[in-house]
Amino acid sequence: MTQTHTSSLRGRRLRAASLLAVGAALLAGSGPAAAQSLLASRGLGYVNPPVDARARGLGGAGLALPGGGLSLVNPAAIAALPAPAITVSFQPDFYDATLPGGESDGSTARFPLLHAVFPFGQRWTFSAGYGSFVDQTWAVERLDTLRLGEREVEFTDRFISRGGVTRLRAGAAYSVTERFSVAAAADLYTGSVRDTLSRRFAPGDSLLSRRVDLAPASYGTAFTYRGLGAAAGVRWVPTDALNLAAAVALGGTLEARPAEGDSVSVGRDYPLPLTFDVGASGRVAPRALVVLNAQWAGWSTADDELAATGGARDSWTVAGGVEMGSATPGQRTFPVRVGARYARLPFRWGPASEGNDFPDERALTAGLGARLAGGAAQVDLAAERGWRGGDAAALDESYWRLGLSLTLLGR
Amino acid sequence: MRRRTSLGRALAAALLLSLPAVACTDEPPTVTGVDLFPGTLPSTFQVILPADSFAQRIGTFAGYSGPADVGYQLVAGGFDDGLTANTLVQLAGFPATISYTQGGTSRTDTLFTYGRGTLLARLDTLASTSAGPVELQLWEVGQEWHPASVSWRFAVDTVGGQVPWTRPGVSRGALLARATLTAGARAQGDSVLFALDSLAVQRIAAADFPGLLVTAAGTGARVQLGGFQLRTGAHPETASPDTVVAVNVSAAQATFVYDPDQPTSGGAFWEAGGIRSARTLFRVDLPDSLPVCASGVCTLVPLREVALNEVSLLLRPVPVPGGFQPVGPVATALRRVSEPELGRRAPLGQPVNDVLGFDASGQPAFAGSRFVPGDSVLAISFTGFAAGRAASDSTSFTFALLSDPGTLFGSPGALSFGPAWFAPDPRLRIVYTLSARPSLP
Repeated sequence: MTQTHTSSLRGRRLRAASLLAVGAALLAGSGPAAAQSLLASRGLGYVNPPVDARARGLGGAGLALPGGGLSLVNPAAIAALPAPAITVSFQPDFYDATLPGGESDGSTARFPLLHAVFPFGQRWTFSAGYGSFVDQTWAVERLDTLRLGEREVEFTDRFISRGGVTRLRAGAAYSVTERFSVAAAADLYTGSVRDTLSRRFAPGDSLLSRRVDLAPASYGTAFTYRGLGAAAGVRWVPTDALNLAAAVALGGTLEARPAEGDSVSVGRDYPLPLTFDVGASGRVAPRALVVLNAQWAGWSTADDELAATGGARDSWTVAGGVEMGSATPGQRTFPVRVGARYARLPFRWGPASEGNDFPDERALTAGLGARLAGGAAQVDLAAERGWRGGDAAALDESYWRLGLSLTLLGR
Repeated sequence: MRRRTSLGRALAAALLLSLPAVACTDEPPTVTGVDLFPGTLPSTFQVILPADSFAQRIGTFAGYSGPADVGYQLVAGGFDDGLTANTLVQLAGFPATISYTQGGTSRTDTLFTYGRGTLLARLDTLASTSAGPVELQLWEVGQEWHPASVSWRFAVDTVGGQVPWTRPGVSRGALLARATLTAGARAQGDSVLFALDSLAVQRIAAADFPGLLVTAAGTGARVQLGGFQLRTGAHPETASPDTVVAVNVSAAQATFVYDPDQPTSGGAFWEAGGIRSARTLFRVDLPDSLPVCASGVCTLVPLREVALNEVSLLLRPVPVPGGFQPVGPVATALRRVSEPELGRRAPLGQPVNDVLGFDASGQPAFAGSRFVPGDSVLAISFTGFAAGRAASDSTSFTFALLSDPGTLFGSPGALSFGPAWFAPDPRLRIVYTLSARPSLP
């Protein structure tokens, strides 16, 4: 028995190592991500939860799903996983924005989640993962003319911000009983942003003999982000039909520092929010699961630091959804999901002195899942239609967000 | 279950089809028309420096090229009260035998006679000018001459000795033909045709024929030619009377002689180009700092702290006397000179003209490379070079102002016969932008 257990453990370790290698390769190949909202230009950026497509299809409510989950919100959710696992999520966004004096649309794509889990023994489960936190990729440009002697020259000023902050998490969950687990995790907030301000001029005289083109001017600065945080979570299954979960994440100080060799730019510190998440799921029928989530994040601690760009407020989110499908473990199933979400976003579009209010976000979601190979592989798809803005938020944005998650279990 | 599977496949297909749309672009969400710029916007300024604050002329040199270095020939008769030029041509490649087919049989004959012919010369209308109709005359050259050393005064001018023309400007033999550009040199078609009788063709084909001379009758025309070809027919003696074999012969040597030599201003003007490839060497000192003004208050900012948008040498053309005024584009260039103390023997570095773009064939278009003398100001920008020097704090350097079609156009044949002259008061135009660094929110 002991020998069998050791062999099984070694096999699991090997599979876990393979899964981590696959994950690292995916992460290395993901490349720079672009933003999914013009709100990436406000405050510390657009806050993007590190959830998988299953949770996304349920409105984002993935905290207390039966059988656990691989979203990077509740570190205790991994305790329910029976085997080493890895998940990767891909998320394209398409948006249209209207704001005073301008319109914008675009499409972007990113990898918001990569998470690997490795059970150790009967009670412990360890995890390492990468998840999106805030996105600061956006751009603004304006056209104007200036007079240089006898010449009138058209030019375009363009500011581009590329980068953001991600969260690297290492955690451990302990199953006190089969129905109750606790977990703790350490977070490393890391990232960078490169800001480029450029001025480009229209070509000169069309007559080549008289033509003189003005070279563009470009200025760039780069900042790196570092911060530490911690998280804790619990998962409780009081009955077979009910799952409850809660998580808290405490962020320290996010330090933004100019790149090495830049003696001119000035760094800044931003307090990271304390975040509470609570969730529940209940199987109201043999093939129907109802999930609910709520989150509160104390972003107002950064209000003073972000006052120049509109300030920050505490944000909260409520989300819920229904998953229709068989609950039998190991069975080949194709669950269907619908959900909705409402969120009060933390960063204002413009200064309060100009009458700008904080924006909200509303979304309707739907999704499909496929559990294949006896549950060893899981593919989840999600589609989300959402709106951001508000009566006095200045910005009105509608978007489509798609999600694709692939999860492999090392059975 | 089958229905759900189909729905899942459809959604998966839609997602996968959407991936290329988002994966092939790295364009961030962009707002336009809204003032969301963090910090201070860039400011752009312009200063124009007079000659005495940035330029010091070192000298003007010429004599680096002659008719043998260009791909065209010139004919002029007292043009602009001064210039006379005659073109010399040697044809080669007349056949020793004629092959033809008669009665289904191929034959070769060494005895044949030439019929009438036409000497065709390609005319460069953009580089030619005249006040009205122009008569060109085709002569037999009156004495032997050496194509590489021939000049207005000498038929041969080599280390081995000099042989002067019996008549300056090429000794003339028999007049072979005339051609008239009835509409003037610029409005003429792209070729000049000299009609030759059979005796003239027979004479031209002779082994001892010294060459052809093209002159202009009358005054007021300057005609630029390039490429000669004789088109005629040969009748083999053994062939039937109506058998004529076409014979085309091209020029083996073509050059021209002219008088007077390219003029020099004696330092009164800045000179560039011409048949003798004049160049003017001058030293440039970029300013160490530039003024930045806001709300009526100006401060000086070090040169290396601004972004240079344009650094251009502004030159004011002046007329060139003696028939040497350029009539077509002049490819004007600035090239680095690292050893100006060597004067006329100072080696030239690479051109520093900015590249403005590329034409349809992929060739770069250089600033100043198509200067037309009728323009009131020539601006040669060298912003890229100046920005590099400013970044390295080495803001003093020496340039040669010259005509450089070989580098700028890839063909030395575009070297204008007439040089460009510029008033000795060049100016330096600097356009620059100052911006605050982007800052964190």
